[in-house]
Amino acid sequence: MRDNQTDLELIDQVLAGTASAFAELVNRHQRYVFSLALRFTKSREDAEEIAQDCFVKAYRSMAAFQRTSKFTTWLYGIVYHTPMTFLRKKRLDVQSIDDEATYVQVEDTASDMKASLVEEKSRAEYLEKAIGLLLPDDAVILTLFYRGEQSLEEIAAATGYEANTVKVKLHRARQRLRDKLELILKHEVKDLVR
Amino acid sequence: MMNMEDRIWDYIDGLSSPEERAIMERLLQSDPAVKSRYDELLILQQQLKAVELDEPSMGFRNRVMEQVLAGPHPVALKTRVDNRIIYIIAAFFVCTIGGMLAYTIYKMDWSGSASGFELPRVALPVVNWSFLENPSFTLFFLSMNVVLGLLLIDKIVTARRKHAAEKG
Repeated sequence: MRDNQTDLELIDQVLAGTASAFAELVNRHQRYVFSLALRFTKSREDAEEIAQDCFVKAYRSMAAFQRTSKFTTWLYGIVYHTPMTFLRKKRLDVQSIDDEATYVQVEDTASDMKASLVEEKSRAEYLEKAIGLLLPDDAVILTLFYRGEQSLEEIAAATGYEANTVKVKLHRARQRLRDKLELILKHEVKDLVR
Repeated sequence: MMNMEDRIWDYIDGLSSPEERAIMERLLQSDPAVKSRYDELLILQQQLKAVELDEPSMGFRNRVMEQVLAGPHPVALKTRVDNRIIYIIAAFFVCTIGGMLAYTIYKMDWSGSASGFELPRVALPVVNWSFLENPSFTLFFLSMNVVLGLLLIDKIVTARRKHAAEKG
């Protein structure tokens, strides 16, 4: 029954005391929130912890949601800022592909897949792998823009950057994504030739 | 100046201006290199839009709800303000001030004296500044300024930290 209700209607119910309405909001947005959290940390356990923390924060500060933006924009704003605190606390290693260690990781991944042929893999798989190798900020902006259906202005509201800065970041993120894709494909081809 | 790839991306994502769109459309028809790049980036854009979202573990929602229900319920700290209330309050003040002004103008003696309009002579009260000599008052005044200064510094430092955290 709650499937037909909008996010704002569910928020009204939560604020009126129906906590179970929040379960529907979690249901609707858990995949986006979890995917965004995974852009910050490669560990699923940590990502779940971050995502859980985000939903709890969203619930507790629900009254502060002013409805001047979409609920998702507000929620993604929480998701964007929560992992920073979490990562600082846990001092997790968030290295970029430019670091030597990550190159090793790419090589390892490539050699693990020796048996399979390049043709058997879809480009989507490579794309996901390349996104996973991006810096968190780049990966999050790409995810928000292409999968979160957020406009530049909405991403700006969620991240706290200016819309123009988001646009520049988006351009750079796409360029880096293409670099990573080329790097991965180069490794795959090298592997096949060996 | 944006490079061609960025211009193609903006065109694909619908971020170009109408003029830029027209230029790109002409370029796509006349320049095979641009067209080839466009086709390549269009595929990448479609794949980006189709990237699978990750699914958290089965009990994720229940764990969130357990944690949520264990804490306090969100209370609407600020009820949504109905704009009509603001307009009514504004109208009240405008009417009161307008009425007082109208009454004052109505009651004013416009006849004046033979020599023309003269301002009424008003004896300004003499301000007694002797309270400044009171050391308790001075101490209180200075303490308040120090407290306000510390609060301001704290606010600035907190805002900078938050900004730094946002920048990662």
